[in-house]
Amino acid sequence: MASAGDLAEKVYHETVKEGGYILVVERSIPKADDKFCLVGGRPFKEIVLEASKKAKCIIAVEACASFGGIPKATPSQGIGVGEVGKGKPIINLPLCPVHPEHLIGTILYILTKGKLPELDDHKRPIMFFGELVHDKCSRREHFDQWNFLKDWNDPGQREWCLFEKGCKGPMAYSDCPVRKWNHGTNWCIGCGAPLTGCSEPGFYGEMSPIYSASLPSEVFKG
Amino acid sequence: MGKRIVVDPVTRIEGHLKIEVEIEGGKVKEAWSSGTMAPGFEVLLISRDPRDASYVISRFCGVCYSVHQRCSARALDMAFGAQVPWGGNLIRNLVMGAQYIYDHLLHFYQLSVLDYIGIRAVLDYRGKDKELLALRDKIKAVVEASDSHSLLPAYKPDEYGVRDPEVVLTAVKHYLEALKANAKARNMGAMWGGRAPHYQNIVVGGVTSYPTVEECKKFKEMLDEQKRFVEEAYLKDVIYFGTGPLWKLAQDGFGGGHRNYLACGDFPLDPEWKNLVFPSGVVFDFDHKDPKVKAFDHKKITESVKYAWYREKPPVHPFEEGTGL
Repeated sequence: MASAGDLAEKVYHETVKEGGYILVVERSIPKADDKFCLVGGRPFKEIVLEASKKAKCIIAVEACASFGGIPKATPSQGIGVGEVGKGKPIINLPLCPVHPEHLIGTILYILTKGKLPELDDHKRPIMFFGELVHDKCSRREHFDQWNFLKDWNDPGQREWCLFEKGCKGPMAYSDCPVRKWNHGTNWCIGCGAPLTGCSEPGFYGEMSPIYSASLPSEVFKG
Repeated sequence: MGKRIVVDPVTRIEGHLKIEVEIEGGKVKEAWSSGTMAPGFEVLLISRDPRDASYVISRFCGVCYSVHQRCSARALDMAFGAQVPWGGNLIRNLVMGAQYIYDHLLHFYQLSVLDYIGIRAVLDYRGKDKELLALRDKIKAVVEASDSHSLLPAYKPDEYGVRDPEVVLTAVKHYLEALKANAKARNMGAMWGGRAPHYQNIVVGGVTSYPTVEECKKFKEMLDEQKRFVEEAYLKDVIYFGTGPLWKLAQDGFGGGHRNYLACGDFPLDPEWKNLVFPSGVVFDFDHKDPKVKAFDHKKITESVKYAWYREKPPVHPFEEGTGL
């Protein structure tokens, strides 16, 4: 936005006073100490609570605002908006970063249908997070044939399953394999990188180490 | 004590920033800048699998993610003693090059240009260019619908602000075109980086992606398209604003900071990093007639945390001591 400081704050206060808006929140809220995030000299948490009062609903974007994300595992102990903004309908749009089509799609859904999209237990829209990545993965065939990529330097393995490289696809829900990113250009698995489970509440702390399998791949061979 | 002006929040950045200046007799006497957010990423990495670092550190910033990620991956390469295959170096260069393109466009158009123009001048455009007229009417419509918070309210332009309606409207047109151009530059990065922001393919020892011939051709086509926009719009605009109304400020010594500059060097053309597209160097008290570039020596860089929330320690080279929160 063009304005900053007082001028930007003025827009914020006018909007909050008016009410009836869809509140979109980015960034986790520091639970350990308000000082970890201040905006205009005020704690971020205080601003989120103030702005949520007259909001129609809240959209928490990215893993951070949804569930705490990476900052959840730092001394700031980041938490999602849903943990503080009680009493308002909330939609979580995790991933790291948020998928722009998820955000625009959710806003358009609310504006055109006049209601919230159907949500799962983690308050994620089922239309975007309803399916296990593993079930739609372009490398699923190799998983079924136990072709697990062991060496990125071997061209013979280039399309193989990334489970042994730490892929969290079997425990992550999102439409990334179908929607892909950047106007359908590519996605994590498409560039040979394991999924990190950034759609899930346990991201990042519980998904670490990223590049190691949580189970030996032999368990799938039984 | 002079007059104090506080700008908080500074909006056109990633993260949170407060700027304070003290003014006496019409001049800035003191100035302070404070980052008002501490996510604590450095501490988070302690005792975790070190290979996670390049993935996590990328997430420090959604604008310049690639440079953080690249530095982190290079630190891991050093720590593991990994030899990055030459192909891996090239892919790393190309995806970061894509970020360089969009970052420059973003910096100039989305983050800076609004400070140089008096946006209201748009409405005074009386020229005949059909595209500009359509854009003028579109902006008029969003302003009337009070749906223009990306452009207004804005600070009143001072004597250095550009107010020529045609120039301002063209700058806004390029502002909008740059949004599309930098989205396309992100597609270039995503071709091998998986997605942008936050490439997924950068790991210790190289990259996870394999380029195909078709992808390389597509990348080149997209690069040519970017080059056209850079040459036809971006460079001309940068030169126009730099030598136009802002020229007087530059002559008075503004915009150059302390006139000391440092470049660490990047984009290697050989595995030993001897030949770089962007060479390294240090310049003190820059004089454009005789810049006197000295050799860059990383050993002379120290990390100082005196004014930060980090645990206090003497200024030392980052190799010598970690940063604690």
